[in-house]
Amino acid sequence: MNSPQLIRQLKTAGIFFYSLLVIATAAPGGGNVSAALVVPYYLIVPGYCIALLFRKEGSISDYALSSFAWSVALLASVYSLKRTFPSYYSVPTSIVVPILTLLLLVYDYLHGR
Amino acid sequence: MRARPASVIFIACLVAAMLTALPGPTARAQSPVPVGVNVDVKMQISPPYDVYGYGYSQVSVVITSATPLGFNQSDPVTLSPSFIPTTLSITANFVNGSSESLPYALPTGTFGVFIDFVIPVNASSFTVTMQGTQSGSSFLWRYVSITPTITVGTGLFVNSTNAVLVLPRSTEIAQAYSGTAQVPVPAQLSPSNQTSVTVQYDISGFVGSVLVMQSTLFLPLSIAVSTAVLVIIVVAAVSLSSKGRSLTSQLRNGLQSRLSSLSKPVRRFAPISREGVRSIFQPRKLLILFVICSLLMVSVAALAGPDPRFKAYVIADPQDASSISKSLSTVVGRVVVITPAQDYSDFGVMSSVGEFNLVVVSGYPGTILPAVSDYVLPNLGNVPAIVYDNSANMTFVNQIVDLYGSSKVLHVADAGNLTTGERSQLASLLGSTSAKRTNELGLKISSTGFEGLLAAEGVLSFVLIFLGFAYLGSLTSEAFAKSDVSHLVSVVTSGILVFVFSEVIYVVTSTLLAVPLSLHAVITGAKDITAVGLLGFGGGSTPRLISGFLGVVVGATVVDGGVKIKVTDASLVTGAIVILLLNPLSLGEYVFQGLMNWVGPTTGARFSFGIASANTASLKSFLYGIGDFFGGGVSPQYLLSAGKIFYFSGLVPLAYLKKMGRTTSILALLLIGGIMGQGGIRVGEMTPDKTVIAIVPGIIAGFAFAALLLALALLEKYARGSWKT
Repeated sequence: MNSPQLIRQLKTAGIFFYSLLVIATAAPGGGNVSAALVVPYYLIVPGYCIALLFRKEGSISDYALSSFAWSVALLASVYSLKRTFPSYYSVPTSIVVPILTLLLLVYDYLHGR
Repeated sequence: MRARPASVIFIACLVAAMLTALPGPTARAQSPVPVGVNVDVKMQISPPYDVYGYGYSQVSVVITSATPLGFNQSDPVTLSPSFIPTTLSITANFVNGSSESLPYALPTGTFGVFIDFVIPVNASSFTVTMQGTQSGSSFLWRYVSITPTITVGTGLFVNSTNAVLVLPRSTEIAQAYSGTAQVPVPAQLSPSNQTSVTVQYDISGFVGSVLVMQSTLFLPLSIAVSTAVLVIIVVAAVSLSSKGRSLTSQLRNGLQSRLSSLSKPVRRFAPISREGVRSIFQPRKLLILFVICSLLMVSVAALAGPDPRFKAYVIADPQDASSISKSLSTVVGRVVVITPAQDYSDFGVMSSVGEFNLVVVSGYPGTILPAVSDYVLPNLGNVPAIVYDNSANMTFVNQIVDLYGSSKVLHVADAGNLTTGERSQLASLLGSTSAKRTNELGLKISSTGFEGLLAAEGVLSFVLIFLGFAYLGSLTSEAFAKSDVSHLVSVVTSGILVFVFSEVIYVVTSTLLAVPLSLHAVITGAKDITAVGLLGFGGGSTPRLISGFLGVVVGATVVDGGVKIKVTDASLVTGAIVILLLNPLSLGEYVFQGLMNWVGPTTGARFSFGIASANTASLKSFLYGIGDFFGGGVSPQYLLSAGKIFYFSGLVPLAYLKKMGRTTSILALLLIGGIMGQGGIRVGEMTPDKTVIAIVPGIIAGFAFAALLLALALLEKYARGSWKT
């Protein structure tokens, strides 16, 4: 296995387990997970997966900035949609956002880019 | 024992006689019970057919008691019309044949008023007469209005309602929707009476409904245009196959050569060649032209302004306005009078740019004064002098004096007939304040000359929007010269610059001219209030929308390295859009409902009707939700403008335009042009605080829209089989 492939698999596994950790915060007792661990996830990871979907190459700073922008847009959109459709208000953001992230991750992984 | 039945019968008869002697159903004459009323409504509209604008209808209502009264105690009752009446009178007729005008109280509501009055003792009947206007919206060459309703409260119930709608003969009712259920009203409306110029409909069963009106020419024209566009789409679809492509290319070449030979003499005299146009449409040159245009606007305004005409905002009964104007002209010469009937919701902006030298407060209908006061009172500090007379509402006058002091307030007996002493007092007040502004450069210009320059400023205000938006569109040519993020930052910051700078130029120019270049909610066709009004555009919303849309589309396509448009793709996409907009069938109605609910003009409560209403209400709510995410709902001062959010949301997909596929990029470009053009209308609103607040929510919403368009582009790549490439 060459190095880029290994890095890609490690990255995918890292995001996968990080997402599971954030989902776990919605479970009873999950509130004990430190915010310092969860907040960076919301600010970077979902946007990074969106950036992976729409772009093929770029510098680290490009990825960092676009990941942050897409993440905030996703969070704001989820917040706004929950507010617009009150029947879904009780669905926790800590489940919706990581699941969307995992879906994007799986999509990216299967397309082998 | 035999006498027993007789005694029983006797007692029964006695009880029956006692019971019949007790007061029965005639008790209404002694103690008040709900009174039935007959309601007669007449609504008259001359719909303006605009792309984006406003209109109003005249409403007159007569309410009469349906049954004879005759109370021995007074009866308090309440009425609530859906419009604000400008005239109102209540008359009671008494048993002895006399009649009396009744007093009333007017607690105001959000979109109407409550009318509280008391039916006096021994009144045999009463009549309520009121007249007013109800606003409506003109959108995509149709006109939308709600039929007025009269809600009765305490002490009354509606016995019958008779409502008629009078329209010009050239207008027809195309759609009708129940106001509460938001579903089409099944019954067809047919004319009940016609004259040579008007047609009357009985709308008794449509009270509170939303009516969509259109010109009688709309249907045949929409069928003709839809058919023509369908033919173009079929030809474009045929050209997708290789055989069809060769066939259509022959056809196109033949057409082009004929058109070329026909247009040759014209092109010889054209002031600039196609290459010349293309060389202008480069980002740097467009930015320079944008700045030059803005400097030109400010320079012309500095030379021409301020408006040499003396302008007075007269809060008085419309029929007294002319006598007040004449009376004022004896002190200050020619006077231009603007009344609340023309516009009062924009009083803040009008007074902020120094449009008014004087405000006159005289007798004004108490029904509508509270609504006018809400907009006028907080902004009277912008006006140098205020005059009131004996017929003015004293509560309103006391509020003015309490807020702004008595030094700039003058009391006269009758504003329509000033005495010699009052004239000298007014002249002194105007002389002691900055009511008569002068040109800072010492230049003097005639009123006619000023109006000419004002019209030129109106034209330049649209050119400014076109150039600024074309500059943004032309930035697509730089998409591949920079990294994605650099390009995104460049487009977003340029977009903020263009909007904020344009708005600043609008504010500065308007202040120098002492006339607003444009306003947000002016009735279509109003001429006296704004600079663009001189061109017949009212507030200027529609031409500003078109300037913005064309700017983005032309800028993105004409620039070297911009979006490449293939005739086939453009025909398919634009053809589909035209058919959706002009479709005379249910599909077209649905699209119209959706667009009207989503981005249509509104002067108060947004029209929400038809099956598209739930979806579009959600979309608008989505934008406000993004604003709320950034603290938009924390206070009434933190005003969110959906229109301005809309503009900034167009910048992000614009930055990603070149990343999209052939067909998606055309669709996206048209959508972005529409989004930014619609948002660009708000440049003329001149509310910079709302602009600043809308930037961040707008950009974030733009990422959400960009994600949808980029996902569509991925689907197109799949469909074209170029995913791996």
